[in-house]
Amino acid sequence: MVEFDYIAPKTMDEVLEVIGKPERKNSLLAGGTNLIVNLRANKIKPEIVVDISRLADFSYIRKDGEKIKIGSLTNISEFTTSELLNHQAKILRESSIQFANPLIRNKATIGGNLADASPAADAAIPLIALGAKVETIDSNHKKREIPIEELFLAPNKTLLKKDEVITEIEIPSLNGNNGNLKSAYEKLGLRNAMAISIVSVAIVLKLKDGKYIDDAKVALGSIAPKPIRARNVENVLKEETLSQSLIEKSAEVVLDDINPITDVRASADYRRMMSKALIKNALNKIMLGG
Amino acid sequence: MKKYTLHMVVNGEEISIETKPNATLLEVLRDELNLMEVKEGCGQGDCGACAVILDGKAVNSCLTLAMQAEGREITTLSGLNKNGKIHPLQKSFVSHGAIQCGFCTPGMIMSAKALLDKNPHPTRDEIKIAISGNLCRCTGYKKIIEAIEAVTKGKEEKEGENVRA
Repeated sequence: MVEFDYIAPKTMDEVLEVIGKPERKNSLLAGGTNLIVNLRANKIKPEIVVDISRLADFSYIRKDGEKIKIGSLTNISEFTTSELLNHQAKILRESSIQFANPLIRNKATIGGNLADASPAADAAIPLIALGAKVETIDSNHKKREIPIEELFLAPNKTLLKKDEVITEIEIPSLNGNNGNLKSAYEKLGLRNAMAISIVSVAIVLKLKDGKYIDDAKVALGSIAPKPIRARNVENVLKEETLSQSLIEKSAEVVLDDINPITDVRASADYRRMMSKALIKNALNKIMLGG
Repeated sequence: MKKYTLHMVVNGEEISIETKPNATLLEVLRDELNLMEVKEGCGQGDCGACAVILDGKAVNSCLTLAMQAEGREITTLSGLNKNGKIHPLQKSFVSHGAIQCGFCTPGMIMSAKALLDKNPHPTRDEIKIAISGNLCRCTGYKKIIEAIEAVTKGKEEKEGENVRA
């Protein structure tokens, strides 16, 4: 493994002080399930590893009014057992159950999964469909909010500045729409555990009178350089009545939203076909009572 | 590279040890503490051969810096032995033929132990999920699942026989 110095700050102020010094190349260590793989492969060469996993107060899933707030250091394993998520952000919990494997879920954090910005980042897809945002803080103690759909720029690249840390994830109020909101999550991997997605899809529909679609948010992963929102699919769905023909039409236009590549896991063509299939599966799930 | 003093509790014993910041927990457990049951397989979190229990949770020790264990409790397979007797899970793995080459066994048992500590009566599906981060390349999964299930159903004695003379 590359050589580096190590510090485990107890407070966020200490973290911000260290990362506010750009002359010393740093890497933030949260769960480490990506970082340590990269350190071992000599892919990154930080001078100092800042272990933020010791910070208290950044691991929680709680209700704040009608919103859900999640601390950035919350382990993915906490998502799998959260009753709150099960009730109010079902697709986020579903995606967490299919996230890597239990050993990884016990270490990986939500903030780390987002900051790593893999095009296949499993947690990002449902969060985008839920309209979630991250809150960050920088070394000048300036906070900002970034919608998660705007956070990603390219593979492993985010909008985050070098001196900026994700502190919280906020899922907007969905409760007021209870009953009218329907959602579905679909992931295709090569096997059940430890499978990096070939395609993943999350859909949240706001329904009126059962089947009329007031609003739609559709997100896909692993089919572009970053997790994306499928605006063409959304436009087909919005202000229409959910039906089999509408589902067929949505599946066709998803091809205009995605830009997949061929890699070791699947060809671009297969990803196109599977994107259509997963859009259909997700919408069918919703139509059948999701 | 600067060295750090690491304090942790390993298998019930308080340990203070000098370590480099880029040492993994796996390296310290194997190379410094001679706990050879902790295996390095893939080194990437795919295989689970390095699984240990850290503060009650099964994790990959190959993806944990030793320094992250500061002040924490670690249990490895040999920590399951009590008074020279092996753990019911170990005994069940032996009696069910759930060990072939044996490389995955310590990690498998640690994942199973972490599950049973939280959920003493898991379903077969819960057992499958709990060991889904552990690969057995002999592919003896059926017997492994049966071995764990037998312990949950109390088919194995509370304490194993004295196998280690």
